[in-house]
Formats: sequence, C-alpha cells, structure tokens
Amino acid sequence: MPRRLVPLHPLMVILAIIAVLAAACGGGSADDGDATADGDGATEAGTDTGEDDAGDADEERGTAADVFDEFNAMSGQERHDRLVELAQEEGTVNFYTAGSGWEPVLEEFTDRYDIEVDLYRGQADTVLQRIFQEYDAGFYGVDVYDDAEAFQVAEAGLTYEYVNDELTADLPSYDPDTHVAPTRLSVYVQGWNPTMVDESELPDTLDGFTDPAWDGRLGLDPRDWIWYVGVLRYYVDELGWTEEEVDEMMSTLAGYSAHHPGHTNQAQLLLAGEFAASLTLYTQSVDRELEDVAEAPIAWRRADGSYIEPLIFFPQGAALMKNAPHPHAALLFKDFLISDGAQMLAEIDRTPSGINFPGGPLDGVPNEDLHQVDLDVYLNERDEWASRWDELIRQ
Amino acid sequence: MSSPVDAPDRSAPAGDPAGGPPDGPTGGAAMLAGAADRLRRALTVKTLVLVAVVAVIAYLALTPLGFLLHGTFFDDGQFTLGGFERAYTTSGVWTMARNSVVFALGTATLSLLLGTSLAYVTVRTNVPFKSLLVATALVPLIIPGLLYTIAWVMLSSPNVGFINQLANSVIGRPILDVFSMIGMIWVEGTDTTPLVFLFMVAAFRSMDPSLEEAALVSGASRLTMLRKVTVPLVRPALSGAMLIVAVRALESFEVPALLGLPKGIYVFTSRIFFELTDFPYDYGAAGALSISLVLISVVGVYVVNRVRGQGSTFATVTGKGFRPQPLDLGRWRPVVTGAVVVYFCITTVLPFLVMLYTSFLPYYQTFSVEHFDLFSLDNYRDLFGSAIFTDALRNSLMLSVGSATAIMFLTGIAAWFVVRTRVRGRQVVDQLTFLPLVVPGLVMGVAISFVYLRNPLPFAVYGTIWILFIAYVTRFMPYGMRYAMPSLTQISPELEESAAVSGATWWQINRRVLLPLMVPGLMAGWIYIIIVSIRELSSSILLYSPGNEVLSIVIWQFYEKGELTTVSAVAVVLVGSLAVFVAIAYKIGARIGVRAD
Repeated sequence: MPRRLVPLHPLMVILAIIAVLAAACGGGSADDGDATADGDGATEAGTDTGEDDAGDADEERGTAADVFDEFNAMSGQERHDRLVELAQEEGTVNFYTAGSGWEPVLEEFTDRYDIEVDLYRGQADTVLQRIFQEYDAGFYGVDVYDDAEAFQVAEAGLTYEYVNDELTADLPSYDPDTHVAPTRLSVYVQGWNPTMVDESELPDTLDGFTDPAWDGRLGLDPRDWIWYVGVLRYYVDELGWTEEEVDEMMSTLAGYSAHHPGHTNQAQLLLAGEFAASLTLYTQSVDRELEDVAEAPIAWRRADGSYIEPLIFFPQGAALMKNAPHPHAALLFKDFLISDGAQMLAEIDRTPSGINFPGGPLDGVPNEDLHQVDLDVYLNERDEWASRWDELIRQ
Repeated sequence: MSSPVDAPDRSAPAGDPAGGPPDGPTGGAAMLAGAADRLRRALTVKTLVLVAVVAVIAYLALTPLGFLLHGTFFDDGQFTLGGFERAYTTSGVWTMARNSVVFALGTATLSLLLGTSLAYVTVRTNVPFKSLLVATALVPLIIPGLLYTIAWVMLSSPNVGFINQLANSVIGRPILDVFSMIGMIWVEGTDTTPLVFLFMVAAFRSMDPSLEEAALVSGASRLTMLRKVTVPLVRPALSGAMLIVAVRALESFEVPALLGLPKGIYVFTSRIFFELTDFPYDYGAAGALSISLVLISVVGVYVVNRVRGQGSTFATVTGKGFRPQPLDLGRWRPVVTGAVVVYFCITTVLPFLVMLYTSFLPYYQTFSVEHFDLFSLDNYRDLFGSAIFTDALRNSLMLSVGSATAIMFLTGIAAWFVVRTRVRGRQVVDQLTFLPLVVPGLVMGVAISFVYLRNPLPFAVYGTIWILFIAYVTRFMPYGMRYAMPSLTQISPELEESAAVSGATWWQINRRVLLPLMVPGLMAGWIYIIIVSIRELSSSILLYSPGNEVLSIVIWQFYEKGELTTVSAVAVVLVGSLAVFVAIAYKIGARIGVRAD
C-alpha cells in the first residue's frame, strides 16, 4: 500500500526546499552584481546609463557622479538653465517616496518643465526595502528618494552629494553630512476632539495628561518609539527630569490610553469620538481634516494658536541616488522639491515643509519650540529604544 | 518519473464494472520493447501536461519559501538559529501562542458553523430568498479587510459604536466591545465565512441527495440524517475548509492589529508585523515565527488527507443520474428564514450601511441623524475624477480574472494528479500548493522581487504587471487547490473509466465528463480568487510600479491620507460592481455546470 509512504512527504518537501535554497544562495549575493544589462524593466535605466565597463572606483561613486559633480560646481541661473535643457532631454524622473500628498506638486513640475514624474509610493519600510533590493541586484530604478529613511540610505552609501547653497541655506534642519534635504517635517502633536474636551481642561505640557481625569480618555500609536525618545530627551535635557521620572510618566500615559496603530487611524477615531485626545498625531493628520471641513471636530491648537508642548519632530528628506538613471532630471526635481514644491505641499496638503513658510502649518511656531529627534539614535539605536518603549507600554 | 502516470486509480471500489483501460502486454515480450513501450506511454500529452503543471507549481511555491528559509537560517552566509532565539525568547511568547490558538480555533469554529449552515440552507432546503443568501455570504468578502474591520469598529467600539449607542439607550450598557478576543473572533469569523460558504455550496451541490432521502425514509430524524449522512459525506470539503480557515486566521494581520493591539492582545502575526515593519526587517525572527505556521499546515494537510481517506468513500457523483429535491423545512421554515434574515442584517446590511453612510460624509463621524445635513456626493466625484482610480480598476480586473483563471487551470490539473493517479509522492504536490498560504504577504513580495530582479525568465517581469500576476497566482494557489480537490474527490472514477472504455481520449474525458462535473467547485474557487486578488495589498505594495497601480494600492493611498470617507465610497462601488459580476458568473456557471439550481 503506498499509504505507508505518506509520512515521509513533509520531509521530502523540506529536502526539496533546501536544494532550491542552496541554489538561491549561490545565485544572488548582495554585492556581486554587475547586472547593468538587465535594466530594461520599468525605466530606461539600461539605455541611459549603460556603460558596462565602469571600474570598481566608478562603481563606488555611482554612474551619475560625473553629472552631479559638474552641477554641484555651478550656481545661479546658468546652472538652472543648463539643467532644464538636459533634464528635458531625459524626459522622465523616477521618484520613490513614503509621503502622501505629493500629487499636485508633481503635476506642477510636469507642467512647468514638461518632464514626467513616475511615482512609486509605499509604506516607509516597503520603499526602503525596494531601494536596497534594487541596488543589491544592480537594478537602478530610482532617481530621487524622499523619506525619513533617506538618512539611512545615505549612510549606506547609495546617495550622492548635493550642493546648492542658494536653496539649502534656508533649510534649518538641512544635514550637510548626508546631503539629505528636508522636504517635510513629521511633527508629533497632541490633538483633541473639541466636542469632548474643553480647552480649559487641556494641560500646557504633555505631563499634564497624567492627571487621573484623563484615564481612559486617551489614544496613542504603540509604534511611536521615536516620539518617546524625543520626549525623554526634552524632559531630561531641558527640564532636568531623570530618565526614571520620564519613564514613569510615559508608562502612566500608556496605561491611560487605548493603543491604536496608525496616525490616520488615530485621527479618524478621534474625530468619531472614540477617545477625547490623542497623544501621537502628526500635524497634517489634523490639519488635512480641517482643510477639508473647517468645523471638523479635531484640533491640535487652541483658539489662540497655542499648543501642548513639547513638539517633537523628525525630518523627511530628499536624496539623490548615486546611480540615478536620469541624473539631470533628478537634480532639477530635487531643487524643485525643496523650494516651490515644499511651499505647495505646505499650502495644499498642510504638511509642514523644511522651511517654515508664513501661512504654513507651523506658522507662529518658533523654531526653538521644535525639537528634532536625534538622527543618530534613529539610525543606530533603534532596537534598544524600540524594545524599551515596548516594555513601557505593555506593562 | 518512470512510474506510469496514467495508470487508473486502483483504489476505486472493488468490483468496478468498467475496469481500467487495458494495461497492454507486459509479460513475455522483450525487455527492450517493454522499455520503449513505457517511454512511449510516458510521453503522452497527458504526462507532459502533468509534468509541466507540477513543475510550475513547484517553482511558484518553493521560490518564496526558499527565500524565507534562507533568511531564517542564514545570516551573512553563516548558518544560524538566532532568529528562533529572538522570536521565541521575547517576553510573553506563550501568551502570544495561546492567543493565536484561541483566535484561530475560535475563528475556524465560528466560520465553519456559519458558512456550512448557510450553504446547506441555500443548496438543500426550500428556504426563500436564496439570492439574498448568496449576497449575505459574499458581501463581507468583497469589502476590503481593512474596511470591514473599520466598519465593525464604527459599529461596536465601546464608546462610539452604533450598536453600543443603541444598547446604551435601551439597556443602559454597551453589549459588544470589538476590541477584545470575542470581537476579533467575530470580525475574522464573519469575514472568513464566505470562504467556507463557497466551499460547502460546491460540496452540497455535488452530493447525491437520494442518500439523505434514504435516511429519512428509513425513519431517521432530520438531525440524525445530518449527523450520520450529510456531514460525513462532505467531510473532505469540511476538513479542507477547516484547515484553510484556521491557517488563514493564524496568518491574518488586520484584525489582530486593529482590534487586538488596543487592548494589548498580541498574537503571532502582530509580532511578525512588528519584526517586518521596522527596517532592517528581521527576516530571521519573522521567518522563525512563520516556520511554526509552515509546520502546522504541513501536519494539517497530512491529517486532512488521512481524513479524506480513500477517495471513493466520498464519491457521491456516480454514473447514476440524480436531480436534487430541496428538503422541505416544514414548520421550521419561518424560523430558519428568520435566522437567515437576521444574519443577513447583522453581517451584511449593517457594515454596508456604515460604509454607505460614511461615503456621503466629509469626514468620519459616528452615526447620527443630524449628520445627514452634511451629506454630499463629493467623495464619489473625487473618486471618478481620479485618473489613477480608473486605471487601477482596469488593472485589478485584468489581473484578478487572469490569475483566477490560471490558478483554477493549474490546480484543476494538479488535483486530478493527486486524486486520480498513483504516482509515488503525489501528495507532495498537494503540500506544495498549500505552502504559499503560510508565507506572510510582505515576505512573499520581498521574495518575488528578489527573484525577478535577477530575472530567471526570458521576458521582463520586474517593473511590469507580470510580477503582480506571478505574486497573485502564487499567493492564491492554495485556495484554488482546496476548491478543486474536493470537487474531484466527489466524482466517482467510474464515469471517466466508462468514457475511456467508450473510446474517449484524455482531452475528451476532461472536456465532456470531468470539467462539467467539477464546474461548481471550480467556479466557486474562481470567484473567490477574483475577489481576494482585488483585495490583495501586502505583496502588491512592494511589487507594483508606476502605471501598474491596482485598486488595493489606491485604497491604501486614500486611507493613508486620512480620506476614510473616500475609501468608503470605493468600498460601495466595489460591492456594487462585484455583486453584479458574481451574479453574472453564477448565471454562466449554472449554464455550464450540470446541476446548479
């Protein structure tokens, strides 16, 4: 009876898999690819940058390095005019981002310069994953990348220098080491539903929410460990608390809150009145709702424009990819993103931009009230802080 | 592959009057002639088709799994078990395991009960409003999972849920807190009920009702008949459904994340989710957790095959003609009708109305008559004004119909191979088709992009719509197989044997005998896969490229921007259009199939 053989089958499957696996391991290690030949997928990468015989040093610098160097040494109208001319010859720019609300900005860019923008948009982690995977495989699909993780991509050596003092001088959180230029700021605020909370009840600072009157009336996103790090630094460095005191406060706040993942989700539940206040919203989660309907029951500023402190933020920035298939278009596009594009984003989408425009979402917020998270912690101490936060909120 | 693939099934009932096709001369002839003969026979069209299908399935199933295993056991080319250590030594792992098991078993039990009862009532009784029943079963499936979950938050969150507002004013306290294990089981269970319903409808359609009638005539009560005749006869479909629903619940992510996390109820997938949404992804830990799921499902498929036992035991479609007579419910008819209507209202009308209500609002609000003043069609205008929406709708339709057709073709043949041949190790094919189910969608996406960035195929895949096609076929192959297998198990091999004896070729047998008999099952699988492909997000989001957006991406983008009201409008449009589509598919199916009612 063949039935006796059946118990072996799972084992056979595993053996078969291991065989395939071994084959896969041999086939695709991270840095052995000189696969410029297979770039005929989504983009014209292969045809545009198809000099297969670049040496090792050139490979390190990237295929777009010469173009970037040339323009980094130029400035003014001459730089701009020459860039427009060559970018139009390329005709397209490939833009990867985790940010939402870019569409009107991209349309304006296309209208102004007659250059198409191919947009790939996903969650922060999927976009990052995609970029690393593409570079590992020698497939260069992206020209400009925009997200908080751009700093990480820069650290990994996949981006190229960007020199344009005329624009970057205006960007307070521009990082000259990584050349990541902030396009958007994710500013954490505490928001409330005005039909459930009277302004007079609101505390001036975050620690005021530890009043037992708030027990069961709060919401927070359980994944916002970076906000916790920002809050901790603020209370320790600026107000002289001990770390234990901050942890105790955060633990109390977490205990008073329902933990709903997602900032959009938080804002929606707050609008509906599931809780009275949310501790971890972005300004744009609130401002977009108010932009649509001015009387929507959600706010992060009191009638007089004041807000609950501290405001913790981290920058999301744009970086040039070193093997950008359309280097001229990439440069022109990055110029646009941090100048007119940023202003459009702030006005239309209510996302704070790298420059605090009058009338923008952060109008009236002095720069010293904005506390940037430590990028070094964000990049290098993630595991440690994320699990510390996890422990705190799961108590 | 030297075994004769085309040998008839020897496990067919003894005394099979037709017998198999003649085996050809074996004894006495020269060895060489025998070998040549075997080779000639092995090279028939049938063999080639089978080998090709098995190869495609193995390729699709093993690529992502190989990637997952590699990520789990190798770090920088070194063998390691660190992933297991990180996954299973985190605090609270046992609570997590217990929660996972309770959630999976609860969900499976609920959806099996609901889905099977609904299917039985629909197919085998004279209950009125049968089309209503089909709608009931399918609408929760059509609403994207994220939205279905959110609809239930709107209905039964403790503070603002509509049901609880109502309960508060009537009995003075809320009745259902959706942020609890019960809430999770309820939402996931009703969300997976359609899957069971489709399985069981197919099974009941293919069941010869004369067996039930015989039981009744012999004096059995209706309950005894159900217990002793009906349920045992549909055991292959039932056990298949149980397996797939339980594994799906173990792997499901939206419900545990949105409903479990707020109250600190962690399951395995919420852990995998955390491992996978923080870059760099901890494939080691995520893989180690997934491997538990792989093992559970390998054992599960094995047990299900044991339970199915000898195929012929369940072969109720035989050469004997039958025409199902609906069972008269008698005085139970109003009760059953009432129960069905109540169920329809709770699981279909309520969530749909919440969506409809939200779709007219400028921002998400609790239910209140006062808000009717805010109603407008702006969300629908936004939707149809967006070029990306119409493109995505077209892409999604093409992809879902294409992948559903491809899957049912592949798994139909694979099912025949597993059920009808005696090739040694054929169960491996069954196992293979099941494996993609346990690979989390995001890992599947990563694995597929890894492979097609180093394209092994002769045409471009990465950056084109084909990569989504491959992802969908791989991800949903398990469902196709689960639909195809029971529908074939129920058909007695004697029908094919009679056709063969009458001189029909393999193709003729398939086209004229098997295919028409399998249509209810294949059609159910086809519809199911179309709907789940349209909903698929976790692989698509990594794999799509500009110009190849699909509907789920557009929904996600609206949601991410906080436009929940527009998302609700998408859901209303989807439910409307898919309902029409499913109705048409059923009509066509009824014409091709032999015994749809």
